[in-house]
Amino acid sequence: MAFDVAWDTTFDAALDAGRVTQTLESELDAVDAAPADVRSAGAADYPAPRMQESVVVRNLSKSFGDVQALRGLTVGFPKGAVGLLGPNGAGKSTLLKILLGLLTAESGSADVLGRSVADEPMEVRRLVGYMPEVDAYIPGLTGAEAVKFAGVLCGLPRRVAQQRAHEILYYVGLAESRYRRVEQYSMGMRQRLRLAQALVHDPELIFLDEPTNGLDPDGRDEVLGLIDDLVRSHNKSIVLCSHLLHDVEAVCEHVVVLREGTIALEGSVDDVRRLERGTYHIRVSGDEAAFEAAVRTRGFDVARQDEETLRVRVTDGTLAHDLFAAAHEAGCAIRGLSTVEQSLEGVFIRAVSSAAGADHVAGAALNPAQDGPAQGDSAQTEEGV
Amino acid sequence: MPVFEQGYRPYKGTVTRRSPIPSMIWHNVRTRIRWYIWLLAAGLMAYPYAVFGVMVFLFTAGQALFGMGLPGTAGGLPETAVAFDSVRGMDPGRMLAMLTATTAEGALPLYWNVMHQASFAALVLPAVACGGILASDRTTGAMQIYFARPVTRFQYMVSKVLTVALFTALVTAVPTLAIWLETVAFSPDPHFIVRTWMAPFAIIAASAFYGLWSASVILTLSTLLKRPVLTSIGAIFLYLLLSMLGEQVSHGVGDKMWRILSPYYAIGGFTAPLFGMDLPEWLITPWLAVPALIMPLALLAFVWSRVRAVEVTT
Repeated sequence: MAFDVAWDTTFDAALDAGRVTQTLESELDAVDAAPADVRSAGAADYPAPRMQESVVVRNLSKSFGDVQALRGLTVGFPKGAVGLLGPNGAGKSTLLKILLGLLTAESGSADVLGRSVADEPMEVRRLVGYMPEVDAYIPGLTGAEAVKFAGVLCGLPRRVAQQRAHEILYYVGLAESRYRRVEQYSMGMRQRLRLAQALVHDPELIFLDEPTNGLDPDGRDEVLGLIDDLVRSHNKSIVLCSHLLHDVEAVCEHVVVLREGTIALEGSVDDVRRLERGTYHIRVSGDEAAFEAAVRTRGFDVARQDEETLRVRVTDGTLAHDLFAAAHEAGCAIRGLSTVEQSLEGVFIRAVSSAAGADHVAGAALNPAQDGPAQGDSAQTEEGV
Repeated sequence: MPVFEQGYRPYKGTVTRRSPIPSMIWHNVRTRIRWYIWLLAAGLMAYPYAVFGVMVFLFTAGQALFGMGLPGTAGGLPETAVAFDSVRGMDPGRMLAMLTATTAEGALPLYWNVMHQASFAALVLPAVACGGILASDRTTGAMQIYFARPVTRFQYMVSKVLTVALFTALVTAVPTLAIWLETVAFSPDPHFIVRTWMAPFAIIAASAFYGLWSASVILTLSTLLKRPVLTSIGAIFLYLLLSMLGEQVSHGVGDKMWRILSPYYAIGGFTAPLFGMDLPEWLITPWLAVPALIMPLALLAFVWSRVRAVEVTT
């Protein structure tokens, strides 16, 4: 979608001269016309529960000493592939632990696959698969035994567990190594083993915590392919917890970004990407300060990208076409205009970084200032529990 | 096409609600039996058997096959035996009669003496085999395998305690039950098995008590120390330290009661009555419950809290 057009006059003049493509015009029209359906940090309440949600969390709070890991979190994960994002200490791990019944929330409730986590934690664990981020193996077992054991713990009859262990190991690409002891596995093989252990009992919902950690590019693509296959071909729901936005973009249809125990951003990946759609890098000739002031006066989010380039984001109540009117008003000529590439990364960074004062750009709409003390690393705090 | 080459297949079968404890114990035991554990277990199992079993075999077989009498038994056996002091105080004839278990009265103390000779071994074997029973679950992240699945903390703890108890039973219950079977087989008394029917239960109950004590020490150290070898050394050191302390304090104070600090006397004081034996006067004290029962339970409560802490950080 990225394109660059050199301008030496205003937009209207350029249109007249036929030097603006229809693509750009359509793009600007689309940005003006269609705000993304994304829930940002400013949204007070989660809308009424949607149909087909695998996880529903209502007003969930949890603190560790003085650190509040979750602050009245209310969110729903639709069935399908959901990416759970957030910086360290955002509350992702705490949320997963509560969903697995390992932690008890101080207030609020959580339902997984229609079952209350507080009332039926064992049933919830039986229904979900969990692939932990860190190493998890029992030394002395072979790969086949380890997966079988995971199946037996989830309630599979022994013989069935054994058969499925072999099938799943074949599926994740460990067929050749299934009789080797797990402590002899490489990091990538252990990663696949954990995935196999999460799948052996055929769960409807799978929590995947950094599933591609430690994998080479080919291995990463293969694992993402498996996850994609589970979602598309086998109708599984997954919650993918990852720092690798590429993974989330590759697999997930929906994304939830946490920051300081609250929702920073939530929506479909396409909608979230569209938040970047109205962001432009602009170079002007003439009185740049006057142009910046004119743009700002019209309600755009403006920040300086570098010495020559401004980063301008269309916000609610503004129209992309107004940029050219502003340039005209300031007596400037727009010399360069390019759309910022639509990726999750830019949105994610702005969604989570305002607390550190790093957001000066167009993310204001995503990141209204939040009150409250700065958060420590809740993961560390949990270690001390 | 083989079924495992057909890609991911949904599971349509049933899911059982059976307790995962047996499976967890099996994996705990199976992954801990190495060649050196076999050797150690064989040696420790053979120890009481070598001391008592061979003597029993020789005397009972000799009596059954050749009608050989036993020296010095004319005076008969005391109606009840007293733990710790009784054997030493008996004349050789009575001791032999008890050793050969020719009477039910002599048999039960024999079983207890056989088992109690292994009280130190009852800690050594599980300490060496299970030194990393909790530590390795933490270092390898195996706790996540359990707690992300329908396994409760209680089930997890029970599986660990029973694993240690099973290794303990290898050197307590197994050789003692073997000797009981041998005495049953070779006893000239046709009603011997009827008169000693309670022996297997007493042996298993006593072994469970040894297992509880060993498990409390080993699990506690395993939650505190990351390296299994340190747990093993620590457990053995603790046993020897307490034994020495008990002896020294009792000598220093001039009161034998302080021997209860030693696991040998503390555990023996709780297990001997199971075999119908009396306790010496100095061992009959409510304080006996502190090292024998309260301390192990307190240690297990500590382990419970530690497991909880690890569980939530899983």
